[in-house]
Amino acid sequence: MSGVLARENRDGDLARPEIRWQAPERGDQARRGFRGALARYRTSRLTAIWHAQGAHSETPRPRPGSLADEITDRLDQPAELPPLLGRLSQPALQALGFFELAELASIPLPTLTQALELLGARPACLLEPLELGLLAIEAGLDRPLIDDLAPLLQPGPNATLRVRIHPAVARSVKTLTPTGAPPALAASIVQPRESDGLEPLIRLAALWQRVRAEPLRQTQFGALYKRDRDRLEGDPVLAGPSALALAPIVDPAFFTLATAFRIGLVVPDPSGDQLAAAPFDYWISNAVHLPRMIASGWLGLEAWREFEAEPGGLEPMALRLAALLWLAALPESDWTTLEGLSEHLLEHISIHRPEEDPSEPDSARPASTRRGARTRTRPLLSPAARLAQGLEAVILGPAHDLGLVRVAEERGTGRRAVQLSPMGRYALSVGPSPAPPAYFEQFLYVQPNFEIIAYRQGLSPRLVGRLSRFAWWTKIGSALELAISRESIVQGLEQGETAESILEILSRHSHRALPASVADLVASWSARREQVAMHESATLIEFGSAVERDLAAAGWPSSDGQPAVPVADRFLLVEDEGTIPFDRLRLTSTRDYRQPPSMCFTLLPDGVTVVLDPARSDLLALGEISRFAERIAVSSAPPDSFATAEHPRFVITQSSLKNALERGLSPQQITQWFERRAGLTTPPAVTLLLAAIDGKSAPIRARRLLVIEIPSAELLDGLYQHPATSGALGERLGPTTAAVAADQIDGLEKTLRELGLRIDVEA
Amino acid sequence: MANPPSRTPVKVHRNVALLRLGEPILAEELLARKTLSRSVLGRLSETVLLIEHDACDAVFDELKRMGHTPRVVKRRDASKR
Repeated sequence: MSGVLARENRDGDLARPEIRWQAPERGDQARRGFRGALARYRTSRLTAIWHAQGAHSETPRPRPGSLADEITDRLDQPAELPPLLGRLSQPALQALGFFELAELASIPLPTLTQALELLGARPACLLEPLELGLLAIEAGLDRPLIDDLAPLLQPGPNATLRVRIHPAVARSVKTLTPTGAPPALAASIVQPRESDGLEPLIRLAALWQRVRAEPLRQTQFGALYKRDRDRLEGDPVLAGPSALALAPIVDPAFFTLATAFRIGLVVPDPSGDQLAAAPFDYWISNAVHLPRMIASGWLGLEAWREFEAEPGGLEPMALRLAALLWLAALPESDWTTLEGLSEHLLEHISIHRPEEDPSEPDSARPASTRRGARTRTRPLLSPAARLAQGLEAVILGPAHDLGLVRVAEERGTGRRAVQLSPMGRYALSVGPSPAPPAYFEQFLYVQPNFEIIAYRQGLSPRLVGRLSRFAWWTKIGSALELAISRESIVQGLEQGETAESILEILSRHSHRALPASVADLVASWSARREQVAMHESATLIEFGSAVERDLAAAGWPSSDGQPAVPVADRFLLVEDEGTIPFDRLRLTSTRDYRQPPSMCFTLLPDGVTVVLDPARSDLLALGEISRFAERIAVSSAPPDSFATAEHPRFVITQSSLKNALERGLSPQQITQWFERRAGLTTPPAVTLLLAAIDGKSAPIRARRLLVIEIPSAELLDGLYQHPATSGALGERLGPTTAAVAADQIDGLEKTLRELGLRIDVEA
Repeated sequence: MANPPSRTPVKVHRNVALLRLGEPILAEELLARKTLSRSVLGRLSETVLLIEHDACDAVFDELKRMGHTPRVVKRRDASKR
């Protein structure tokens, strides 16, 4: 996936463009992308590809809607690929090799064509794999369906197109070096230099631990929050210049972040709101291949560039690929000069300079290249000078820093001479894996002030990852500095280290004995952490008695994980449920606390007393009810109830509710508790108590009323209906009873008498 | 003929969120903190507090604010924090 996690263009400067981040795209994802690109082809083109792949006339032609699937599926079959690849020319195979070399599932079309040109191949050779469906042009939804492929390879309006490769094809091709070679140096060289490639690795490790401590947040548009961007750019370890690079690397913090993203060391978290650090296992799984992964990551980097590419101009990725492949074409011991390589590249390519075409209307140009644009501050350079500058930025910058090239001086002239290093030859698949350097076992100086000096000669990728777990990189140079603190040690402990393992690794690689203060504090920080353990999903086994529990614990089978831990009187805490010896235990009940709780309380008619049913109870039931009710001692329970020691009874009182509210429990939580645990709404009696505590309900009114009893319901209906009597009656209390206000009774008595009815009013 | 050994009856409580503390005084300290105590559903023993599942992150943050560096044991199939 190539997500657009655009970095904001803060000042409009060309050096700070909108940038695409690239997450590694593998397996199914790359396959879906390829199939999706084919889905934007016209049926006629897909049919042509289907036939070109060798479908016989008698083969039933698939339905038009399934052609993209058919073509994609066919390439998955191992037997199908070799004959198709065998039909490709050398330049076309070279183009396929770019994808494998840079570990990319897609490449921008202008980059791909320019890389081919720089290697002396015609971009039109891309038609061969395109027509066979080994590559696919990826067009946006705003473009018409693709049919004729050749016009798409023309420069100009197709700058936004990308080319996708079927993942099976990418796995089947090898990197090919170009035919010919740049001029080899005749003179001898002096002062050869080769980087150990550690610096980018340590910067990645430093970034990893910083992101681990605090993930990088993204806006909804994918840009980093300003605070996080400033955090990276203000970090001297990430943003400082490289100690070994012979040419400055622009925006080094962002280079490290973009590379980390490419190689999967920093990954988007599932929410998509932030970038998080990969788990520590990444360092173990990839320790051997990490230098090559970083090299491939850099070769295919789009999000960061050594120099800014202008429309139609030199593409950094194309230059990286072409320059290194030309160096790979040299015999292993030969050198060439940067000037020689630059001239060699220039022979093969014409770099477009749209600003030189006065006939082009200014409005047609990209904003950044318009005449008089604020951003144009650099003088116009000749194509040769631009190529030479770009080559210097690529070769003397990241290529040297990553240890892919050796750099020297030509004796007598002082011109820069370059050749691929063994690491470079390995990264380009033209040489074997370089022999590992002789590592020094003791390369650390642990000081009493918790600073650690590390000498590069002892560091391997695996050790870099290991140290990054618990020590904070503070300086990167010829000597490296780390610091340990309570936070860094806790971070290490959280990732699986122990005080013993931390001290062991420091002691093993330390030149002298560890300072006592360091050993003591690491042990103390670790011990303090053990004081509070939070189990998010523990399994507790409840026994009938402490004796049964202890007997079971004594015979508990050993496992490689944590042992069963006795807790409370009758429980064993188990981290791995798979270790429970159920052959010795009889499961009477099981309860999953992620599921809704069981209804294990019964409300008594008084509305304030609840009784716990132990058969349906769980560990939380007692704790929950105790938060807002008081337990009634068995001795004080009424003899007719079923409240016994086995059926505990609780009463909700005003004081128990008041205490609960003071401790932070809300009336809503109590309402929810009744729903979850008793299957009821809050009892009115409890609502009454809550209202009393709240003190905000309207006052209760008291007034005197008389009740009249009528011999029959029909007569009372008549009293309510008749205009002479209805006004004197209050609320009807029953079929034959009604309330009458005390001050109305005399009037009612008089009216009834006038009607010939008698009423006896009790004194 | 010897009777086969009887199996011990047990109840299994799965997916329980709890805090295990080194000393009882720590439990008192945590329970005295209003923001924490509202997430505590019960006390299994002097040093074991049962907490709400949904409040684990909040409890962790609050413990850190109090200066503790809690060891977090996640599900067996999840990574440890």
